Amino acid sequence: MTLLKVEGLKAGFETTDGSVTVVDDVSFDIKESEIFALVGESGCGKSVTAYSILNLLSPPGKIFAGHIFFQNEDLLSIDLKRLNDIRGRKIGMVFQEPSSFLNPVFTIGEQIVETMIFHKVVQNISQAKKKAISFLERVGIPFAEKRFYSYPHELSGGMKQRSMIAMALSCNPELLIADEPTTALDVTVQEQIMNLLEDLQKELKMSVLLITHNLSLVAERAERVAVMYAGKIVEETKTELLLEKPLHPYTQGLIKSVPDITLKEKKLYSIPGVVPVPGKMPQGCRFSNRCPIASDICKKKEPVLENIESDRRVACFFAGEQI
Amino acid sequence: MKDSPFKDSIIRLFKNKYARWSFIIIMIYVILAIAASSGLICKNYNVESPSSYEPPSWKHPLGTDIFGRDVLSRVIYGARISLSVGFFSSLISMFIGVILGATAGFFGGLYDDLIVFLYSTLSSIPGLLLILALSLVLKGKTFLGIPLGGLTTVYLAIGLISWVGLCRIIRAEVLKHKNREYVLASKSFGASSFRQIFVHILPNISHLIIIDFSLRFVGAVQSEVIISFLGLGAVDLPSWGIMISDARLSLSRGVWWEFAGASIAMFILVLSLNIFGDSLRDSFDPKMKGLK
Repeated sequence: MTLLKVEGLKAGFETTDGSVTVVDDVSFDIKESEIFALVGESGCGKSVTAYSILNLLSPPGKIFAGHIFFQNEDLLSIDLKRLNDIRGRKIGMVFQEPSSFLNPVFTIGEQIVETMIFHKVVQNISQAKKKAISFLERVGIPFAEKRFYSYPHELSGGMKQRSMIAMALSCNPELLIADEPTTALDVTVQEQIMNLLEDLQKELKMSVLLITHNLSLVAERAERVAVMYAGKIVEETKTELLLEKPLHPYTQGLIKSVPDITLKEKKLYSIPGVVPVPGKMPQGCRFSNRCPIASDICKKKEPVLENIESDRRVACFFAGEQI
Repeated sequence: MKDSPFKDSIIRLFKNKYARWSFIIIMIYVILAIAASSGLICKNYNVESPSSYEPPSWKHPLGTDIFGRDVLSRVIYGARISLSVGFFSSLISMFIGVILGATAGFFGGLYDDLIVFLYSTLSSIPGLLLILALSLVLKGKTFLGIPLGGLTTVYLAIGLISWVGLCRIIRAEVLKHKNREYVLASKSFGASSFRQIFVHILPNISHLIIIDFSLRFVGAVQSEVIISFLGLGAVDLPSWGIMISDARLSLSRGVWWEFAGASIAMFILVLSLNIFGDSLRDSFDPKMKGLK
């Protein structure tokens, strides 16, 4: 069953110098209780896609076109009141930088309780408090009863991210959007947080949209992956398939750039060049100026995302050719 | 368990000895004012006697005025008027300033332009002149069935004019805060615009409201004295302004006690309020934290 369906999403920024499209014609869908990962470099439009799902872009950010169907409701056309019911209640969100996404003047407990009371998932405050403490325990915060009364500045980054997850899960959402949930944390904590998210996903049977630039995080956990480059999805398939046999030259480059402890090569592979700036995209395929196998057609015509095999989509004229 | 930032600031506030003393003095004024208005003390503030212009004595510690009324009782009764004007007009201006400033900063656009235009216009006219004009206009009118006379006029006149400063501050702060991540997070949890403003942003800038309230209070007390001095404020009530106005003629005849009583009472109250307001700012403003 499809839980979330993003169709032809086009979003970007409306500036005084004209509008800039950051996310261009992105479509994907997330099934019930699966982890779906969106991978790409910084600035490729991952976060804008995530924010667009809950219609959170504020000016100058803007959604130009597209539909986002969540349980057959188009989140971009329903009224704000209905959208506010869904935000937090049915779709929870965890952000990149836990320190700044928590309100500094309220305790962790107050913030979790507030969310639950607001969405009326509990009858009264004492019940909300009990539930909040159990959630804090569930996300692995020691002395949860004490931490309930802690202010964000009294907690470490990892603790804050755990609290943020507890807050996002407090209303039992069906979809959790995790926008680079571990980027601001150090590597050991990253691992813990990702394991936690995976456990909770299994336990609560929710779907997770995991947005990250870290392929190794995705490798073990996501069922399906979409790779984004310069505002477009270039490849989308099951995780094993993608890691085993990447078809798009960009994906191949990405996987090649992951350091491998068993190889004795001196220099790590890196994709030459930089991501083009939104608004100044190259003609034809957006990856053509960095692609080692690009030919004339790539510079003239833009490849479309096509089904190559069942459950496998790639946008490349030379899909499967090795770089 | 840690204290909340608010409690923390209060503790820091009362560690300051100036804050402690000014607070005690203000409290004495408040207690006297409450006692006077409930009729416990100074019942004879309006009782006339044949002994007019009596110099200070044990019976009348601050002497008597032209009608032989006890000046000390009148001064104490005057505290009630000053404090109530300070409180109610600051409350009105706080209410207007916070609501207009917060919504203007948050929603922006044409609405913001309108509010900015409104307060720029208002602040380009001398405030006192506007207060005087407004109290003249409001006098004797009714508003929502409430007759506007005497003190109500004063509350409204001062309150409706003096919100500009707070409105500016709140608007600027909300502009700054509305793009903070925690507001985005609250939005992602389904908070409506008003909820974002009043539940999530406002507690973050509440210290500014508290500080502004205390400073506005002083301004209102002074404005009331000036309005009453010019004969537009309270009628038949012993406001300090009216007392100073009455006493100015008899001052040349050597009757200094009425003038001195009202002036010193006002001086001490305003000074204490000012010191307390400054200490409030020192302890509540996060930028002043840790500074000696």
